[in-house]
Amino acid sequence: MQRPPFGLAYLPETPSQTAGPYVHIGLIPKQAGFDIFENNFGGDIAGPDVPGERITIEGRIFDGAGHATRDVLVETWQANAAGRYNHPADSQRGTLDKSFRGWARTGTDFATGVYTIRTIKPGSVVGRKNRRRMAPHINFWLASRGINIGLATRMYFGDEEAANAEDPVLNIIEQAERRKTLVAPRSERGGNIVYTFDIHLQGERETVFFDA
Amino acid sequence: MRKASAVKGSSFKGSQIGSSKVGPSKPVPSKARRAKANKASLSEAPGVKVAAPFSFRGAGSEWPQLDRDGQKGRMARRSGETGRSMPDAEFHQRDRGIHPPAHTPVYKTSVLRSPRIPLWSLQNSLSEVTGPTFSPDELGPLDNDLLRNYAHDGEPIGEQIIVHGYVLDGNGTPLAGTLVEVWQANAGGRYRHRNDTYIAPIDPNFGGCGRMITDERGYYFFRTVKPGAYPFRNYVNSWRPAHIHFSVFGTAFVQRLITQMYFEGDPLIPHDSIIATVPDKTAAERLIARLDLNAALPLECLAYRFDIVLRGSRQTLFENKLQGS
Repeated sequence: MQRPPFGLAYLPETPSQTAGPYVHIGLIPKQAGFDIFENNFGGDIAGPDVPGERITIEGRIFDGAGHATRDVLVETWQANAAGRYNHPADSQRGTLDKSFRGWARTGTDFATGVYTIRTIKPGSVVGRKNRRRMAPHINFWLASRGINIGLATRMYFGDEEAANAEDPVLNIIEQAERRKTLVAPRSERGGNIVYTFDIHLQGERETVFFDA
Repeated sequence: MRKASAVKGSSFKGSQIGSSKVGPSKPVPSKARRAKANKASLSEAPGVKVAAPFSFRGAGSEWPQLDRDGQKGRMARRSGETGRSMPDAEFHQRDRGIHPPAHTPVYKTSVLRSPRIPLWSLQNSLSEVTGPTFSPDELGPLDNDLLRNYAHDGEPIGEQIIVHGYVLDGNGTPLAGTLVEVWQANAGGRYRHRNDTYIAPIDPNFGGCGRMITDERGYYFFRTVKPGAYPFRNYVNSWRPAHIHFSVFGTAFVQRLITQMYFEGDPLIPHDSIIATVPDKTAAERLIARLDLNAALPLECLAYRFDIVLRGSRQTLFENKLQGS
């Protein structure tokens, strides 16, 4: 089935399908209730030697009826504290820390609906075509039963007002009120820094989702 | 993988696909042997004949991408001042017409979980064109052998099959070293999951999940039992056709994809509400794995072929150097 190297013979993407109610089996089997792999991917991703401010991100993911979902897979992707992604396409000058992949995976809790990620706060990342730096942010991707194709959004940090005001992505969102759906307030609890990032799949406070 | 002591029999080597039964008399492999077996299992299974993957470079991939006003030179100089920041590769716009929309009343759960405001279109920055990478060292040697990775005192019940294929991007370029994760119900249609209460029994020797990293040709394969169909709460009498869930990464977070693979000839496919969410019939057909008799092992097991295509990208040219190629 060789195709010639000319013309517009692109291959169409494989269609998405819902991750279903049992996504945990494949991706977070411990949450499904069993232990199978020696090495598990998880939501606590910054080892003790990784530079940066330790933070906890937590929140709930609400459906259009205001119900906190209890079966959603949450993945995040972020730069390190120097604003550099652990990926060959990132040739920014910031320091690369190979021990920090920058990717987390967890699920909303079956009982409480809360998801929790423990990581470090990323630095700002240089923006598209060097025009403006992007404020520190974490890329989110959600998949679950009832979500036909993964939903992409970003979390920004509530204590970065000045950087957020200049952020080239937040600023393309026409309705300034909707930008707030991407900004997580910062608080302190038991000596830990906590950012609360609730996501609304639908409804009055629907979160901004991106088609990138 | 499960602790080695819990797995009877030798570890899954490609050359042993279906060629011997799991037997308690076989020695537990040493760590070194398991590591070797893992390496072997990450390459093509000998005896599994496969067609060559697409190997052409996509149209446009070798052309310099100019800035909107054609100012490549100025951009390059400017980027030299702060470190290059323009992505090496920008991804082709996702063709939403081949994917299910968020809101599909035929699949009732989607109704309250679908955003109603249009997605904001976002041109690629580094945050989009980068994504997590994984190393084969992170996986166990049995992670791609669902017949053995949860076996306690025997083999899982059911028809043993091989599932294999290539992961490619829209340019036909093989995606090497990408993580593929799979999960499924057992042969009776029951998931090993605390929320699954279907009447079919749990299989004590079947976990129902596996994972692998594609080789340099983008090839993956795993061994499992064919999953059973099962009912679910959508309409009064809704059944899912037999299917295997796939999660794939690619090289960038915008390529992230979760999908489901179905089996050629399954009579439930035309009745399924989940496949029906895909608006394009020819796109939906690409989710159906084909029976691949050439890859079937005589007197052992059948094989199914399922190729996965993630979004393609175009390369950018900077300072007379083609990046990312």
